[in-house]
Amino acid sequence: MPTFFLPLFEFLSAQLDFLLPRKYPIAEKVADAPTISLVSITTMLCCRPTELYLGASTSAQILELVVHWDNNVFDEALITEWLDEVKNAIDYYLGEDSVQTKL
Amino acid sequence: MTRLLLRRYLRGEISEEDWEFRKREPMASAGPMNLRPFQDKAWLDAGGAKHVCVSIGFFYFALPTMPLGTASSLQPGADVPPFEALLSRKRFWLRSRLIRTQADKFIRNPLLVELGSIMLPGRVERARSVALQWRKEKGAPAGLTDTVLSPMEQASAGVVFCNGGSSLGNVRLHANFLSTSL
Repeated sequence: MPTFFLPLFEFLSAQLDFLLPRKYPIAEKVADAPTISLVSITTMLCCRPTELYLGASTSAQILELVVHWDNNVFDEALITEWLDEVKNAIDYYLGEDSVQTKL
Repeated sequence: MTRLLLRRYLRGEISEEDWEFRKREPMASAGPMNLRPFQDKAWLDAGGAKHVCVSIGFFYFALPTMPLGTASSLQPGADVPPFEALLSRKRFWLRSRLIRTQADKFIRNPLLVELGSIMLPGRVERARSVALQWRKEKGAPAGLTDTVLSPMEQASAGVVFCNGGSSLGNVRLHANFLSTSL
């Protein structure tokens, strides 16, 4: 069996509105307007040692990026550089200007 | 990922030897996948889908070399080029589809469960042995080194993943599940 080096960089992405509906109660037959609305969702996690963990989730049409890292291993300047790069790449490849390109 | 590595090379933080090696290697990656749908259907239908347990395997995929495009001949000291110089939007979608195709073939492999039954116990045992060692010795195993390995040294020992990706899959499928269970 080959040896695998664990990746130091993990990435999570999800459209959370399908996992966590924003209006409650959510039964379709309830006649009244929803009484509870989910306003915001926050991702909390503890990454593994040596890990840089970048996550993305979408809720209410808002894309949120989160980053977690092992502070014993990474400098904050590097974290900022990675996060900015991911943010800029998302903007370039998935932003409004990219819509006409996806065939 | 490619542009981040290119930044480091242009800043003089990656040697010519390392860079030439990295430029020619395919990009390997992996991600966890939900194994529940492939388990015993009676268990799944009886509540297995909601049972609290870890039931994941991993899918693996590879992309061609780093998409450096016209930046492949840049030398240290040069400015970092824009995204379009490395990877056009069309090629971004091409590479995205390559991953989707490979993932699709992987989960439709008729030996998917068998592949997992061969590979996963090794992963579990590695993690278990480290945890037991840590509990016994109250610290890391002796003989470990934090020597930095070159990309070539790492690759000589096996596959090196450039990143790992987690996905919640097609979460649209979960909508009905939640509607009926809450």
